[in-house]
Amino acid sequence: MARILVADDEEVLRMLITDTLEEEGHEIENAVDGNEALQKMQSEIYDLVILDNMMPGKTGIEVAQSLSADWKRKCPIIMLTAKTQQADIEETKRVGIPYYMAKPFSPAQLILLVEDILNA
Amino acid sequence: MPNYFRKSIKRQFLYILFFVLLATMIGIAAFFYMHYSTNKQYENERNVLVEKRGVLQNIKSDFSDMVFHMRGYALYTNDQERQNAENSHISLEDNLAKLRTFDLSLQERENLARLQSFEAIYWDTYYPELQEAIESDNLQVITGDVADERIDEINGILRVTENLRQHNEDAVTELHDEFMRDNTWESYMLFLFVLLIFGILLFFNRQFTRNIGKPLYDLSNASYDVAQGKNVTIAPLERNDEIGILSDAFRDMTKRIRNREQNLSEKNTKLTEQQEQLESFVNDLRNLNWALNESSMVIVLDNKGIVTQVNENFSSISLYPEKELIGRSLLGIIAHEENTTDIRTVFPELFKGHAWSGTLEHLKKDGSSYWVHATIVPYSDEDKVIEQLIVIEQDITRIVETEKMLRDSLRETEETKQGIERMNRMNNTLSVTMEKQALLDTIMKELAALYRYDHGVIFMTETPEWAAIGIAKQFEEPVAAHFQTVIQRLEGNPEPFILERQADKGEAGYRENGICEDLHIPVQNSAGELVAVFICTRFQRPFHESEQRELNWILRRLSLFLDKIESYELTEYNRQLNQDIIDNVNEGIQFVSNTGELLQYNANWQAYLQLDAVQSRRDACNEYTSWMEYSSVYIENKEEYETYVKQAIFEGEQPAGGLRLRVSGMQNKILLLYHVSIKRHDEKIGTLFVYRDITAEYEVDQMKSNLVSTVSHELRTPLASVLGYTELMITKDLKPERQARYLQTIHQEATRLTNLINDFLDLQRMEAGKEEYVKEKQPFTPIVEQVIENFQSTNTNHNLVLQQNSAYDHVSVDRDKMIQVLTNLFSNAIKFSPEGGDVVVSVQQQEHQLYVHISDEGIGIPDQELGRLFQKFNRLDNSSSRKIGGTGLGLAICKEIVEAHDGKIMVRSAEGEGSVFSIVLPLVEADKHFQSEVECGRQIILLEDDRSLALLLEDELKDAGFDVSRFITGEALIKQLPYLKPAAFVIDLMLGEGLDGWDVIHEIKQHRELKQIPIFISSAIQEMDKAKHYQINHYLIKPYPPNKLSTVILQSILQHGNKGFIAFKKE
Repeated sequence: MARILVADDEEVLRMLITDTLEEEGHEIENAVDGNEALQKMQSEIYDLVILDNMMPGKTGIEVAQSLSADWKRKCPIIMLTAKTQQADIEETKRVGIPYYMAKPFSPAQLILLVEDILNA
Repeated sequence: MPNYFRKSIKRQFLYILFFVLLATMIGIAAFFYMHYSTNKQYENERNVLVEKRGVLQNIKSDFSDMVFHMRGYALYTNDQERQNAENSHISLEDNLAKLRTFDLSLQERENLARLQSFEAIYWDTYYPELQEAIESDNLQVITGDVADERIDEINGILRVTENLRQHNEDAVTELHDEFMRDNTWESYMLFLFVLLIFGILLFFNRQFTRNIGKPLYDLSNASYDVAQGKNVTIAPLERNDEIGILSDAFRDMTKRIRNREQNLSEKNTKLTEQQEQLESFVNDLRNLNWALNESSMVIVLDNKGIVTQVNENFSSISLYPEKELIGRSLLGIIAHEENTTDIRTVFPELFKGHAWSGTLEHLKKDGSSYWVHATIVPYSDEDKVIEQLIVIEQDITRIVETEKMLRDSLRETEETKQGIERMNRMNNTLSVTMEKQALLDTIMKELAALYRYDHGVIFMTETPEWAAIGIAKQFEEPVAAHFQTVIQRLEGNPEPFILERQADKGEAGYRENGICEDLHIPVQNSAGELVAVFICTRFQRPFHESEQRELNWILRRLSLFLDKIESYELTEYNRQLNQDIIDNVNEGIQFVSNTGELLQYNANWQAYLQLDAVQSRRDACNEYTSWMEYSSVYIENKEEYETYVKQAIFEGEQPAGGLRLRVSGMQNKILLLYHVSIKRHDEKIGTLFVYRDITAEYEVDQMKSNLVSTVSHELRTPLASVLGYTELMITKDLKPERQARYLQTIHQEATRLTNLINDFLDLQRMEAGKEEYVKEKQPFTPIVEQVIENFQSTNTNHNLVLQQNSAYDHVSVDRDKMIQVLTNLFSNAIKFSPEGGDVVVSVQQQEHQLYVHISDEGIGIPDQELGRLFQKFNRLDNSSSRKIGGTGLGLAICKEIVEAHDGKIMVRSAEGEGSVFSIVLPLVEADKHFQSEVECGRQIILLEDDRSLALLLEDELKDAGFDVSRFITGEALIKQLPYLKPAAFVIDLMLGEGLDGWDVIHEIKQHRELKQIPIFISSAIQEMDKAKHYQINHYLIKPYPPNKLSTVILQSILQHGNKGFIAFKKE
């Protein structure tokens, strides 16, 4: 049972992830853009954050850059990205996010990744 | 008045004399008056007495006559007698009456009364009795006693008359006595008066003597003492008259005399001293004279210039004995011609009394000459007549001779020096001159100065340069022809030659002998070719052999200079060529020496680094630190640049590859910098830096990578949904409603994906120019109406309005594509005004173009987004717009379509206010009747005193399809108001001096026709209350982006028409 923040500007995707993870018994909160995501991440405590990269306001990378290293150590983040080039993956790692998921993704894969992270 | 007399003795004297005379006159006059009046009175009284005596006499005689005649009547009764008696009676009565008029004494009055009473009784009683007696003839009655008594009585009366007369006599005598007494008394008085006058005169005389005589006496004594040399002091007199003045003057005089005496004695002492000095001078003079005689020659001349005296010195030097000299003229000894004339001119000056000194040449007896320095001094007698001339001379023969020698040698030296200097200068000029013409000019001028030729010319044989001196600018034909023969001759035999000839008349001028010489000298280059010819001409003065040689030598040097110039010109040409080549290379090139000095660069280097503003090409300082500083001003990655350049120049290391420079400034550029070491003989001599402009490639790259990532994102997001939901449906056991929802979502996302791919492909096709348009000439409004119809059926939240302001709207368009554009814009307008409101479309014609504005009251577009609004995948970057969705390609497609129709698409927007999209399309066959309605409702009156802001706003408003009339002052606008019918007023509130914006607004609101027209305030100050009062449509606070103004105006006009809408925006 974990508290998870899902930040994506696409409503359908947000809904997909929420539905998927709620089925698994997690408590899900939503953010519709980068700014809202950052604000929620800084004011509340989550066990996991799923962060879309291409968002208005702030991109996922920018949100990650705004967070302290300490914060990132405490709370794992999964970056959702449409980009699959090696350079983009490296950039994600560089801002301190070890996990990422490329769109389109399978909900089952997402569940597995979430379980892995939470159990680790 | 007393002062007036006190000041002058004369006046005093006259005053007193006048006074005495006046008194005497008055006294005498009084005396005579008294005397006269006494006499007069006496005479009067005497006359009265005499007259009285006559009257008394008459009375007495009348009375006697009356009585006598009455007795005769009584006696003879003769009527004659009676008549006489009556006549006497009448005369008596007259005289009595006369007597009564006199001044009478008491006794006389009694006597008179007695006479009268008797007379009355006589006539009243006696006479009637007598008459009765006579008539009755009774004379006895009255004779007898009566008669006696009456005779007594008559006698008594006669005595009375006698008494009266006697009395009168007495009075006369007494009067006379009194008169005599008065006269005597008067004589006494006169005598006394005369005595008195004398006394007064005596008194004044004495006063005068005391007042004048005494001081005069004192003064005369004092002056006598002064004359005797005694020291005198007299007290000052307190008087204002002449004596007072005399005394003061005398005192002053004595004082002055005393002072003068003192001065005189002082001067005397000085004079004595001077005399002693003079004596010592005389002694000195005597000594001087002796010394003079010893050292100098002295000649004394008389006033005719004849020697009268010489000293021994003179005769010993001149070898003439003294005897031979005396009697000779001075001119005779000064035998040298020049000096003799010289001395004659001096004489007049000498006789005016001026001394002269100068150098003279004398002749000795043996005929040789010697030089002296002579001083001639005129000597005049007391009447200033020149009697003698004294000549004092020193022998300076040796000095003069030495001086002459020195002068000669100095002149020679000077001439040589000038020649050398000139030659040097010429050499200098020639060696720095890099132009042939200047070289020829210089050599012509300098040689003319050195060799004094009358005219000369030098000309190049191959090139057109030439220089000349002393001849006309243009060569005439024959001369040119002559030059040709000269060239031919010199080419054959390159040796200088001289032509002797008879000079032309014009050439020779005043010279009689017309022989002249032309010297021709060839100038050859190093290869021995004839390159120039030098010709010079001299009249009458033939060229020396040595001069020829010199000229030849100089001109051989000239050929060296010509060679040098030629090679310089060649080098310069090549250099210019190289510069032109590197300037025209597309890369920026910069060559730097090993020490970092900037040796060469091209125009592109400056252009790419944007150095025009920093340094101009030639005056740039070329040191490393300097050029590094100014060239890196606009480079963003300055540190990398510096490191790269430094390493390339100074360190052996060769940084691999190139460096990307980001240059910002007027334009942003990306430059690729690389370098090459330039080597000569295996030695590095410098570094060449090449800057390649890769901005375009970089941008294309950037765009490509952006596009890839965007497309990938845009495609993957719906794909993720489709895949995700499908997976959920497959793997999970879901409730039917959820399944339905998921299916719906999957469908929606798949549709989105399809739309996206369609749009994308459309756009690709359009961009590639492969889209085909079916353009037809048609009116535009029906297209708009059709689109509105489509929307109206599905849309209830928004009110779609068409405003047509144009009668003519024919354009050549592809109808379907235009519908696509309008649909896109309408759907955007609706999507982006989620709260509803009006969407107004206006179709307007402006000159040859059709403006279609689509205005909404939606959320608007932030300024920073406006620029890239029409780019692909550029959806509004804010959360509210994300909610709305879309492919992000719509506006890009619209832009492509409109541009394919030779049109423009623009947007104006203010965030939170709404947006206005405008399409501008060219009208076709719009040549007939479209002018008429253009003006109406399209004019904006702009009142703005800031010129640059006004221009900005004007441009913006014109872009939006308005006509703009600008006013600078409120006064000018108010004057024009009656003739205006604009669509809107834009008013600045602060207008410098004079009326401000509010005054103008007030005025506008007074016009019935204008008060409905919307007013927009554009001001830096905020006065909302006033704005509310005047119902101002919109208040723009400076600074604001210009497009905001056109947005709000367009919105206001489009949304509400020209119907005088007055309302406040929801701010």
